[in-house]
Amino acid sequence: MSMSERKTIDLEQGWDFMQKGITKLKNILEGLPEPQFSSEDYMMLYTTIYNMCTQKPPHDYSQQLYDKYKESFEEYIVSTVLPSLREKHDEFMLRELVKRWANHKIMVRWLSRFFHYLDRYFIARRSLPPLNEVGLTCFRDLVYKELNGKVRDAVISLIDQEREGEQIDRALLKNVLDIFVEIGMGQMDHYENDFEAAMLKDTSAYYSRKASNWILEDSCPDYMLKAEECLKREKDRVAHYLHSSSEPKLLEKVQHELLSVYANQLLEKEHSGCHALLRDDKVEDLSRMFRLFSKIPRGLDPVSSIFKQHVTTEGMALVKHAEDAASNKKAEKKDIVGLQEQVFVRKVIELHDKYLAYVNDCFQNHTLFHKALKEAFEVFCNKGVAGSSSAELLASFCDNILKKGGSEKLSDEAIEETLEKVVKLLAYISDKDLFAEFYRKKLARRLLFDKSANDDHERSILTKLKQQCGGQFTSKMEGMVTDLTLAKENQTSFEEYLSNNPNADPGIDLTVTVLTTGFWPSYKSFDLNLPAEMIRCVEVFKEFYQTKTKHRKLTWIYSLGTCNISGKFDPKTVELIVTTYQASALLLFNSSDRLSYSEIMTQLNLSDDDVIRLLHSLSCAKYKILNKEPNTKTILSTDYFEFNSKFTDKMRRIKIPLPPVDEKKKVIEDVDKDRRYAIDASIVRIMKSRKVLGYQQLVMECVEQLGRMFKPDVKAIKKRIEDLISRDYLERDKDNANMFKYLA
Amino acid sequence: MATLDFDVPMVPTGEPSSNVGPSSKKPKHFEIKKWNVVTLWAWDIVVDNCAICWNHIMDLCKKFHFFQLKTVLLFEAFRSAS
Repeated sequence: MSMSERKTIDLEQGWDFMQKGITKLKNILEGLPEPQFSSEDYMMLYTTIYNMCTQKPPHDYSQQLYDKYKESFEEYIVSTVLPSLREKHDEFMLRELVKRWANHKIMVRWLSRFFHYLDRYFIARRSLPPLNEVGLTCFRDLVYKELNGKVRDAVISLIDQEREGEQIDRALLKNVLDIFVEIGMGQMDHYENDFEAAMLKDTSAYYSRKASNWILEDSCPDYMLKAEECLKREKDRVAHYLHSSSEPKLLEKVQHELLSVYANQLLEKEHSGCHALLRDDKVEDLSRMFRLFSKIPRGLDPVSSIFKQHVTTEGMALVKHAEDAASNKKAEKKDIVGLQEQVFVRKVIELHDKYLAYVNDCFQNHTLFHKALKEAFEVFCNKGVAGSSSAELLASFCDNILKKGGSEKLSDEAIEETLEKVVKLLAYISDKDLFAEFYRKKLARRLLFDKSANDDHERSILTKLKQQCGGQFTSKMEGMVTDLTLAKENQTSFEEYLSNNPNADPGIDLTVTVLTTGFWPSYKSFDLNLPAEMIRCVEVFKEFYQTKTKHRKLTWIYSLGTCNISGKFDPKTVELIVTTYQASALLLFNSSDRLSYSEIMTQLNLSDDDVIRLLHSLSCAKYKILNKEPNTKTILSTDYFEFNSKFTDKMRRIKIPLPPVDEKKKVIEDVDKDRRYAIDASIVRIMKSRKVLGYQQLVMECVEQLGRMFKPDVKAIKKRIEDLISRDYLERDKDNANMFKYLA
Repeated sequence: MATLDFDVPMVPTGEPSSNVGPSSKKPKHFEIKKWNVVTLWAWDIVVDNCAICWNHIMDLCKKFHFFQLKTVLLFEAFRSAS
């Protein structure tokens, strides 16, 4: 029985045995000639711990062994590790540290194996720190805490050397920094507090020194190249040996020192700053600028501000140039939008293309730059040129493209593309209602005088305008185009009516274009006394129209339309293409060969201005159908006119133009009148919903409501308010003069 | 006064004689071959502008106008019938 019992191991004896194993391990770690542990060695060491932990008290030595486990590390560190580290410096110290840490981890692993039984029972039962943790903690408390400052400084020094272009051992730094991370045992506090904070501070200092030199020595593009290169290298540094969590903090420091601190100085460098880059179209540098400044807080604000300023300046230069070119035009043609203005619009389109490409490419579609572009164009696109508003210029430009014989010969695709761009420019113009009115005026001329080159293009631009400005903006224009189609159908019906009714005979070839009031620009309608032949036409058509419609009245617009007249002159008969007014005047001379100014005026029932214009075109212009007495260049009320029987021309068919009335003033007056109505409607709508509202609030809402179409003048709004009060739509509050009430 | 007195009789005197003489004597100097003319149609009503927003009544895109037009047309039809 005594032979079957295990012999009790006392503490000293057992520990002596363990000491031999530990010494063997130390020798291996120190690189001394020592054979590796055999499995038998391992088993004996493990078994010894096992036995000493499982003996009956008082021979259970678990606690003592646990304490001695820790003491083993402490003794080794103090006697061997620390001396070897203390004697070394800088890079050599780092290498030694890496080696010592690696060895320490090996030692922890082996001893943990020998003492494993403690982990399973003793440590578990008492909730003590596990063996592995105890081992690592020893290194942290004895080695790391003493040396981490020096290690940090050495690492940072190497980083700065690398920044200066020197070759360093990146793997070494990687291993050293891994120690900071591993010491944290799952937490980053040691890495962050003991290394990263100082590293970031050093980084700031380093780049602050660099930047203060570069900003003085380098051009903006060169500086930005360096900045971008530095950021790239710092990113590489993170990839190679810093912890990935450092990247945003590190880059932020670099960006701050290189960009934020010197943002204004850099952007405003006289010969190479943002302005110069834009001026010289340095697209690549501008792209880099965007990439860099987009990374710092509000960094893009100054860039977009300079961009906006630059585009505005370029645009104003176009305006100035067009203004100068226009001032060289002949005085009598100043009111007519000519080629120079067409060139201006074309250049604005090109400018927009160019800088829109900048926004989309260099500035990556960033909203700040879209806004800057918009605001810049809004500045100069609302300047007029040579007395013509931009709204009119755009409308004229469209007219030139859409009409037959325009000054530009464009392919279908080019026309579509150009119209698309014009519509984009319209977004920048405040007075969209003015554009609409001018556009309608010219559209009417194209449609009524058969000058429109392509129906598809006409409808296409209306589609684009509708998308841009809304259905209400284009509803009248669409109505106009539709009216032309309906008018053709109506004429077909009229011709059928004539062929079916022998009694209905206009006597001449009659074409009537019936249009819808309201769609078309307003035209002057005079009480012209028509010749008998025309009166008959009107009567016949009215009878026809009554058969098709009810409760409609027709207003005849004699300023539109043409008349073909056969003029019998002594040399030969010439066919004259004239307006209705001119025809009416000429027909008077069938009854009298000679008529006075006042007789003509009376018989036609026209005003002085109209008669003068009319007679001038027939007697003082290129084709002298009438002889004027006296034979002067201007029409006076005392003049006499006579049929010129000797008139002739080499052509058998001639068109006698009647100079147009100043349409610009008319259009502007019409728009002003419409605006009054629009403001009234807006005020009434606002007050109807609010019932009671203060003056400032009312004005503000009115401006906001109408802003899509035009910018109402505050004085105009005030005037409309007064007018609405006088018309009993509104009234002033009795107690507060600034408060208004809605009535009815 | 003398001038005015002189002018007044001229007009009626000249006109009838001119009308009679040339038409019987010689062919016309000018003869209309073709006439292209433009006319605008509108509703045969007195009111041209909407009482509320003063836009022209032909702006049919507004529902109110359409409603108003119907009312006016009914009224006109009734008046015509009576």
